[in-house]
Amino acid sequence: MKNLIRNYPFLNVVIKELAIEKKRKQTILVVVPISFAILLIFPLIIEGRSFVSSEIIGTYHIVLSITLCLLFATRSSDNNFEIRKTNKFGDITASEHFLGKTISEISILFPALIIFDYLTIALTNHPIQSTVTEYLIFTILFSICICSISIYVNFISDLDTKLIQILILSTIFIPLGLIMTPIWLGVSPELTSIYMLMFIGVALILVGFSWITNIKRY
Amino acid sequence: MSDTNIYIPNLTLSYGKNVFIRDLSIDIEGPSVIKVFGSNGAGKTSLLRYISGIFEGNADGEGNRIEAKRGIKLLDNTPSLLNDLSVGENIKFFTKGILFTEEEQNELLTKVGMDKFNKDVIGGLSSGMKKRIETAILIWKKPSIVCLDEPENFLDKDGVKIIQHIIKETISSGGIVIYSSLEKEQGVLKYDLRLDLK
Repeated sequence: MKNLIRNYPFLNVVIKELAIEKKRKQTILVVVPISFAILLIFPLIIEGRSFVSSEIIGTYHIVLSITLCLLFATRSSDNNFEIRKTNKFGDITASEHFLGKTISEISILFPALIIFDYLTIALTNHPIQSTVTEYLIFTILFSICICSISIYVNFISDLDTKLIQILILSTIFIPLGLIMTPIWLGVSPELTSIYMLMFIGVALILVGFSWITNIKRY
Repeated sequence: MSDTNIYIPNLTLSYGKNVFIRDLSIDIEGPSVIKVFGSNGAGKTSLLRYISGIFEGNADGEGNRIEAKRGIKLLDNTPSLLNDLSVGENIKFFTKGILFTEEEQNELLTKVGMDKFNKDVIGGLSSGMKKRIETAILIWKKPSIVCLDEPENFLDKDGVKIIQHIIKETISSGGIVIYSSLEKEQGVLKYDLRLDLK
């Protein structure tokens, strides 16, 4: 492990972030249960019963996934000055910090999304209309996009209030959620491939943009 | 010429319209200890943060040259440590995993009298204890330039001795120590040059 960190210094940041998450337990004790509660209440509000019809299941799932991602992205705000100070003290470069932070965020969000999806399937009886491989690829791309945006917004908006962050994030998350739709609605394989390519492009642009902005600010 | 030096001609530091350091010139070569004296709000912390590269306000000045092969480290009144993690986990993070095992970490912590607190969470420790842990990391890192913001704050007699040890170590390796103080007169920490901020 020692040599691994020496060869890949960003792992040091990954270990630190995961240890903090393990101590705080925000995702497992706050984000997922709140999303689960919304999952239970939502059909009662929109349909007046504990059932979701097939026509709205795509929208229903996307709205709830975005809610989960919003809660995840705003679970703790980063103080830029503190980050710079800590990194300077620990000789952590901007690239190491960004890479480590992105990987750790993805490794927290990805399992949370999978747990949430399985809960949705169990509670609505609407299975995912795509193959397991497609589902996993789309979910990991979705996680990459969400985490890049979340890190970027946390970096540019050093806010005490979460409201503006939620407004900015939800505006960006909604189109991302729409790209996830084919996975739930089960469109043709050709269209899924096009969506997947488009999603890879979007993910690359978002990661690149977030990376450059973060490094420039250091 | 020493490989550790600070050359800053005509530095102006401000936060918005509030200018607190105007046209300050510094030319220091290691080894040397500089004391920055000034009352509250004179700009001591900002100057140390500027030298350390974490100043967030507006800085005007051209031709600055700071050479420090082993880096610049700042020890101020708000610790850089991670509050959610234990002392050992902090040491592991700040040494980039080099002090990985508990034994290795305790060996370092013994130098600052904190080896019994390896598993304690930083958030639950006192300010003085946090400062000692930061000091331990400084001892391990051996930076070329050490900036200490009111270093005697929160520390007992033993803690001050550790600070004196850091100053001695830095000087013996040809480095520069800059520390700020509210006291004009020479205290327990000696210096070669005093910089008065108004």
